[in-house]
Amino acid sequence: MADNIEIREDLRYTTNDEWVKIENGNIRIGITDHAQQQLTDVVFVELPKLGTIVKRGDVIGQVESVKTVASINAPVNGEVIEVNERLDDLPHLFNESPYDEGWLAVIKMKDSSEYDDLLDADEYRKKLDE
Amino acid sequence: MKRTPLYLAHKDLGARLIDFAGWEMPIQYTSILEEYRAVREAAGLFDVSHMGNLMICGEGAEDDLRNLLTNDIKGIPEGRGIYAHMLDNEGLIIDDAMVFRILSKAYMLMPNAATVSRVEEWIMEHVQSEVTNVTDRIVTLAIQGPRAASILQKLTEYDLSKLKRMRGAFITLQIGEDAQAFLPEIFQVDLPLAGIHSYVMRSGYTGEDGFEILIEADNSILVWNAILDAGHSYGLIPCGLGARDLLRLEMGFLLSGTDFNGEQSTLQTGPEWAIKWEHQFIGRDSLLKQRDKILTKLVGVELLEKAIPRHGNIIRVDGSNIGMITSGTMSPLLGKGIALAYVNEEFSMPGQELDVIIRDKSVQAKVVRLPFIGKR
Repeated sequence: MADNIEIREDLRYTTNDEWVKIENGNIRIGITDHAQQQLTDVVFVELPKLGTIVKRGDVIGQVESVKTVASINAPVNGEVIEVNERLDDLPHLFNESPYDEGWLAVIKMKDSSEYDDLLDADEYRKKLDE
Repeated sequence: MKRTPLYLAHKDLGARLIDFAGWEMPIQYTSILEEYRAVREAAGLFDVSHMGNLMICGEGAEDDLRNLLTNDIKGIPEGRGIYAHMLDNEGLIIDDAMVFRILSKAYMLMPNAATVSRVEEWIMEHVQSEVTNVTDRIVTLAIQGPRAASILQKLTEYDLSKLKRMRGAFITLQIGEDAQAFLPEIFQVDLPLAGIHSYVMRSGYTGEDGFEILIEADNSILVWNAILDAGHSYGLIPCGLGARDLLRLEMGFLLSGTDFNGEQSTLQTGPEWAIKWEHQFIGRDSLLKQRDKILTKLVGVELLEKAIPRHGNIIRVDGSNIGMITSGTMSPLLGKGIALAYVNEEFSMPGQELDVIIRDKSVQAKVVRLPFIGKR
């Protein structure tokens, strides 16, 4: 695995290359540095709709680069309560700031124990090494 | 996988490499969009050595090529090139390619990477002249962009303003102390006193001014580095196939294997000017028979809503499937989704409204004239 991929210790991850950050019982999600590097320049995003009730694994967004398209899946069951609408005009935030300005949405978890099922940084690193 | 002689140079530059038609080629060095912008605004340098180089030589070469190509090379002067399609007996496209008359009785055809062997076999079956595949001996560099001429001019005493579009010339690049020949056993051109001998064509696949430079593989790293150095202060950067695909699609240029794959004729794909009906060529009779039948046609499609069309997306009119997209992207220049698509001929006129089905959603679109970005 390339050494220049940032994996943050304080986040959780999915096998589909999303990151998850817990905030007051809600989760903020986005795509990992590895995912944005694989995608190359992101030029378009389909954002989830506010208020959507999502099941774990549901496709809630699409990220398109000049080269390809990738789905973003809901990492937990819950409701979409916030969406990063800046990405509509600035899709390259996914590339420039995948863990900060490039966040996709905030989901209110139905069952907060689902957070514990997600990969931690070490497990995600291991997954990328495979 | 095959590698070009510049493989290590690409790795050193941090290129991301992909499999393209059996070749391990750079898709990008830093960013596809950055490389795209360099070509539209300054200049970019591409290694396109995966393209084929077939020499067709001898007394009968002109007649042989006339019979093989939809466009007519009859009487073109030395140093002139044309774009043409090569058809099978059914009029279906085997490949599209440039052919240059390099010397009076020596032509070079440059087929696409994936079709080189098919094209070579087809030519062998149909010609009397001598055919030599020199692909592995040649490196092709494309320098493209509004500053390409200024950059290349720094490396040669040849006055590049004399080299018009689709013209080619033997040019000595002032690089290194030694004299390096270019395929001397084929071209028998006098060696330069010093420098690297090359064949330079004013041509490309981006819609910008630019040159395609043929050199012997052994000299390629020297030339690659010399152009990068000469171009640095002009904003030239190395560019990969990702940028190349964006650039060609904005112009509506066909991608072999994607926009045609052995099942379409030139009547469907265009461009019309690439068929010269006045001469006899393989596939001509089949094309004449097709002329009056309703066919699907390749058109430019522009999305009216924000989305990106992709290969395989279905096109509908009034709920009926009438076509399919073969290439699609987000045009950086227009900020819109653009695509090449086959649609039933009755829906192929510019202005025709269409629905493109992207991930089960219907997106409004219309047929537009090519090139998408207007004449450059």
